[in-house]
Amino acid sequence: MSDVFADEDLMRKFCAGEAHAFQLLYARHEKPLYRYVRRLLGSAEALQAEDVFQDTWMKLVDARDSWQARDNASFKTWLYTLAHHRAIDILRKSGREISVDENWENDEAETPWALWPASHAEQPEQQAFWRRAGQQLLHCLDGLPALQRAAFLLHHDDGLSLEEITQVINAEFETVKSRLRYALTKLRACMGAHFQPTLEADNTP
Amino acid sequence: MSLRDDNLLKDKHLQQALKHAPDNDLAPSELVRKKVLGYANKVNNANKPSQYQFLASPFSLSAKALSRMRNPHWYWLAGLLPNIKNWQWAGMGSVAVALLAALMLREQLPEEPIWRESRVREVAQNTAPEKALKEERADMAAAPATIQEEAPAHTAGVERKAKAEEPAATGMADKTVLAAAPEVVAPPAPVQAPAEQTLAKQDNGVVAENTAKIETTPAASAPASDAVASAEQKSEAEEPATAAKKSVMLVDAGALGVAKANQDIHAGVLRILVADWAADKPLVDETTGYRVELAADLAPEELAAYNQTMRDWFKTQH
Repeated sequence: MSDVFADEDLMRKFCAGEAHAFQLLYARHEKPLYRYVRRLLGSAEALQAEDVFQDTWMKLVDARDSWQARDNASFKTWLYTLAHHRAIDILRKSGREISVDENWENDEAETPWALWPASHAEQPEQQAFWRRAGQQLLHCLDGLPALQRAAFLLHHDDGLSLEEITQVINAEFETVKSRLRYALTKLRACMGAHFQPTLEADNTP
Repeated sequence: MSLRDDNLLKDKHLQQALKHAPDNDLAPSELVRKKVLGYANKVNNANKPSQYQFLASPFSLSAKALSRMRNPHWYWLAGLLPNIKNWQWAGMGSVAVALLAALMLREQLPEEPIWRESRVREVAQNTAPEKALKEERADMAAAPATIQEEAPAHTAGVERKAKAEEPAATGMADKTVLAAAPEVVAPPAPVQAPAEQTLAKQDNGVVAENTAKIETTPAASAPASDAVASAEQKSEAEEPATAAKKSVMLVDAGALGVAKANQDIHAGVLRILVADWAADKPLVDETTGYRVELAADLAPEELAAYNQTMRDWFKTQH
């Protein structure tokens, strides 16, 4: 049933009084949303992740009537909007949000991606590489401004389009693009600085 | 344009690294899951519009429930009604409707002419014996009327007696007539003294007055009292109206006998009457010496009262 119905259909059923529809929605978005909240908050505010996650769902339940009034509203966009704003509030209160984007040089020529192994590699060494890369990426994400981090996570992990991201972070389309571009440049630099020497060493016969 | 930007701004390697991040399979705790799902169920059940809410009462319909209606024609009603979402209000509304229905049903109880007709029928049943009694009295009064031509005083006494009993007869129901019966057939009292005084004065008015007294204290003669007593015993087994009627008839018959005897005495006709004639019957009464005559048309009570009055008269003279 959860695969048959879209998020919007399940939400309408929940608004009509079917509690089971909400359970399906929760099960469908539980891990992705929690992951987004936790990564957006960063390692410094990771303990706040469950509170933000819980508040997001409860606010969704309370505001279900306002969602009904919006035509053609994407449930996923609305859900992530609620979670994003709640997390940003936490970051603002903690003083860790970087509101001004840094003027980052876009130098994609220095990316080491060509030397990285394929992601579907089954060799233990390659899987270990990707685990280390993921851990390093989380570390690199902590160094990004919150809005760049949000744009990157929504686009790469949660699969939202640029249009949907503009709705979630309440920004212009070009702004989203630039923030995403800045985020990619920083992350590539951060990741290449750590992995390129190792890969070069591993690829050396 | 947007799709192309999406592809250009998506780094597959970083995306792959993100999927292999150690926090990729993290999930909120079970407690958070229970809180969220429990909250959703609670809110959903609390605000769930009941389909029976309309049946309970129109006033129990909340404005919020109305606003959830898909039919926009009812939206205006949501603004008019107060925001009632407490189910107790629905219960109070139901009680009010039930009370109103009870009042409406009360208005449709059996109409007055129905029970009035039954009441009239009941009264008619109770008053039927009284009417029969009145008719009987009218018949009884007719007989003294014939005598009145010869002895107005006696007839007047009988009529006065009838009038004296009229209120009791008309005013009393069956039970009261029964209660009056023992009074009418009271034990025989000595009537000789009043009769002597009356006859000694030889006054018509006094005789009539005494006649009335005798009638109100019906002890005109022993046979009459015996007959009355036997009638009283029978009346206990018979219907009340019949018993009372018989008692009155017995008393009237005795009074008539006394009145007729007084009338004969006043006229100088001294005799003893018998109901049937036997061969060995003496022509002259042994006690009084009066001649014996046949009077088959008289009632036994009247006959006994008549003879007793004659014998009493004889005693006063001897």
